[in-house]
Amino acid sequence: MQFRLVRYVTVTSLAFFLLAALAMVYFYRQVALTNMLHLQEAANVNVTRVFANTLWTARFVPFLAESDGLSSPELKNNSQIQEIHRTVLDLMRGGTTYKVKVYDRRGRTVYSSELAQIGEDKSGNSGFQGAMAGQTRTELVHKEKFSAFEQVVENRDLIQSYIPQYNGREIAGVFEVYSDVTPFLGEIAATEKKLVAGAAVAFGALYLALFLIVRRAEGIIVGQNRERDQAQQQLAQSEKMASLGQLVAGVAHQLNTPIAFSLSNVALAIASLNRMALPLRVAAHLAENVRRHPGVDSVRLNLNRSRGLITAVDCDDAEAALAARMLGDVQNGLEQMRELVENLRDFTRLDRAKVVGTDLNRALRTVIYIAKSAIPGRIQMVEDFTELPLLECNPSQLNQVFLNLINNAAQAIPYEGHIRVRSRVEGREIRVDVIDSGGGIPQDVMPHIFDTYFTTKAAGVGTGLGLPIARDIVRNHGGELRVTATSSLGTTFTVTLPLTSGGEPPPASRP
Amino acid sequence: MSAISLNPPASGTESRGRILCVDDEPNILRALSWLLQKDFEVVTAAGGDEALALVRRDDFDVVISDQRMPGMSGVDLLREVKAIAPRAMRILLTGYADVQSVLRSVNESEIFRYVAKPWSVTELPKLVAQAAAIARRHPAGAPIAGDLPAPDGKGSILVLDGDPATHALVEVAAGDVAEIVHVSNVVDAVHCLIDREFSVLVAETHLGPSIEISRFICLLKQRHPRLVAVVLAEDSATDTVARLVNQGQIYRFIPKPAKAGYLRLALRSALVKAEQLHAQGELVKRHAVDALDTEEAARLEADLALAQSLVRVSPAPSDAPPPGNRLARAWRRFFGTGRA
Repeated sequence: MQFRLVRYVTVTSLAFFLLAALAMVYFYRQVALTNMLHLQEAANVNVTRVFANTLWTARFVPFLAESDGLSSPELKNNSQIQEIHRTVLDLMRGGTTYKVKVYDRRGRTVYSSELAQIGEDKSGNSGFQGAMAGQTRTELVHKEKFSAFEQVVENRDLIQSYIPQYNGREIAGVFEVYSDVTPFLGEIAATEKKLVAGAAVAFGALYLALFLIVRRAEGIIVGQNRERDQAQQQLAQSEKMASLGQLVAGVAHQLNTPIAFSLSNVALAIASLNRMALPLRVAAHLAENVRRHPGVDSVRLNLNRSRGLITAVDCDDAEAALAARMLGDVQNGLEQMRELVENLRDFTRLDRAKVVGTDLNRALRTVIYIAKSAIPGRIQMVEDFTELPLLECNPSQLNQVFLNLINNAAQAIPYEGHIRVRSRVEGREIRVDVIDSGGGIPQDVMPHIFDTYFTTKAAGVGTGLGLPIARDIVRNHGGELRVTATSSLGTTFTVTLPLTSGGEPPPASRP
Repeated sequence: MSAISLNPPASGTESRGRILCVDDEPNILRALSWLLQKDFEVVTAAGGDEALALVRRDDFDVVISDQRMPGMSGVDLLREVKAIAPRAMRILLTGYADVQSVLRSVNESEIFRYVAKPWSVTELPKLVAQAAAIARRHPAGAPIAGDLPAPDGKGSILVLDGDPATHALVEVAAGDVAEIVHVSNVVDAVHCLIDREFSVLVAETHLGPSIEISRFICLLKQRHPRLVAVVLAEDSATDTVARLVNQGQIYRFIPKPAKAGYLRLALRSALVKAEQLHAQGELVKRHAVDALDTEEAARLEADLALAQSLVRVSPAPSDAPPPGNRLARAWRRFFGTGRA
């Protein structure tokens, strides 16, 4: 299955863009809320300060002192409350502050702009406790229903601050101030929406650009792959043509020898026969003469008529025998050519079914015969065969493999040497070894010998496809091709082929 | 010794020559014997070692050898024959030879002819007769090998090549031992050879991508038999080299890229050879060449006549540095010359 780059990038980048957008919005929200809290806290502290400046010394200090001894219901009905409440209302009118509460040091509500709450004990409240410890505590709260000055509001977001109030160095009481931030939050939400829209547009554009880039890149990659495949096919083809060319050159050379001496001999024999024409005429004439006179001991020859012819006879009695020997050699030459053609036919097997039961020894013999014509005479070929059962295979493909191995072996032998081809049955396998007496495979070359395009020959000489193709062919037959030994004394390539072709039959042909 | 002499040397004086044929195929040996025995005394050997033993023992006029044989190759055999029996003419008879052995047959074995199998029944006896006659009438000069006597400096080399690099290389290789004249086209070469005599010709087989001049080199060699030809070429196809041997009797064929040291040795040896040819005019006959195809020769002659009538393309050659200035050379080195 081909890797689909565009799909992959589309899906993954979409996920990451969404993640990034979400993170951005979340981050914005956090920053905006924190800012708002700080701002409102500062505003609340200011409000407190205004209250304190206006009310603290004048009203609350004596009130607190007085309230100390009062019970909660008494406190609620204290006459000073009304006065303080009026002042507070005056101060807060038109502001965003919704509620103000004052606690004494024990946590009792001594004043609330919501008068009903006066006297409530809030000493357990964490905000109060924080304030008593000297910290200003602020938090955002949402209230479904909230009684503010003069009215009850619904569904508001409020900032609630507990602010310690000092009397000299000592904390004398705690202010609690609520201010409304619903409009602020609305603004934040609106900005958030704009941000989401902006992010959608920006990331969308980026996403589109990325998509286009990747789609184009994929187009290029696909094109390159197609070109590479074509190049590989061409190389495989040229490898085939190269080995074919080598084969043809070898065969041409092998054919050339019998052609050369046969041509020469036939020409000489024809000349010889032409020279024999006259003696034959004379002899025939004489024979005719003898036949015409049966039962006589001597015949008359009219030399007047035939002297010229007879004296022109200049015949070596060995001439006919020599011509016969020449033609005998020609016959020999024709026999050599017939053998070659037969081997060629066996080698290519164009006239056979693709997968047939084959005697590998016979195939190997043919390959060796063919290979001999192409490899130098200094290299000796040794056949070391044991009888093999028939193997279901594609013989022309296996011939290609063995020819390739033998040619490689020949190239590994720089001077005199030999190549031994050994066949054996091992268990349920046929094992064929091609053993050369060459210089071995260098260590740095060894790991790459089956790599496609790897070659130690000059560019344009070797395609680097011989061994990879050979290994493919052997594997398609369910077997394996490997190097079983290599040293400075030579190399052994081993082909193992399973005898039980229980699985699929080897594929018919390669492109 | 399993050598068989099919024609006993009964009447040695009548035989037109003693021929040694070497091939690993007995059929070929028999065919050659039958073909040649009428006119020559033919001895055969089935391999290089056997042939060398025969050459050491006997005197042969012509040695014909196959190239591909188990053991010693034909080229190696003929090189040894050249050393042992320099008088014998050497012919390589082969169905197929790789480029390397063809080059070695020229440079090391200095063969007289390169004959392809199958041979012509009419031509081969004629060729052998010619070779035998030359061997009998014109014994070889002293072998040129090992430590060369320094050329006396009077030699001159004509370099015909379109590539400035070659001119520079020849200048480096032989500038100190000979006068060198550089030309880059056929017209100039013809004019130079008319004006004066040269000892050695160094030539490429191609001037530019489309002008093939191996036949022209052969023709020059026919017209100036004493000119020692050294071909320094990129294209070392078997056919070309074979033609240059048979029709041009070139002295050396050096494939490009050539190393200066090797070229220096080859040119020195060529200069000595030229001196030898000059001193012993007889020797020229040992390098008789096959005539070119008549039609081809006529066309070339016409071209040559035309070339002679033309004005020189470049000014009269002198000891000036090879054509192409430094900038052009740098340009070519950086971008390549476009020649594969």
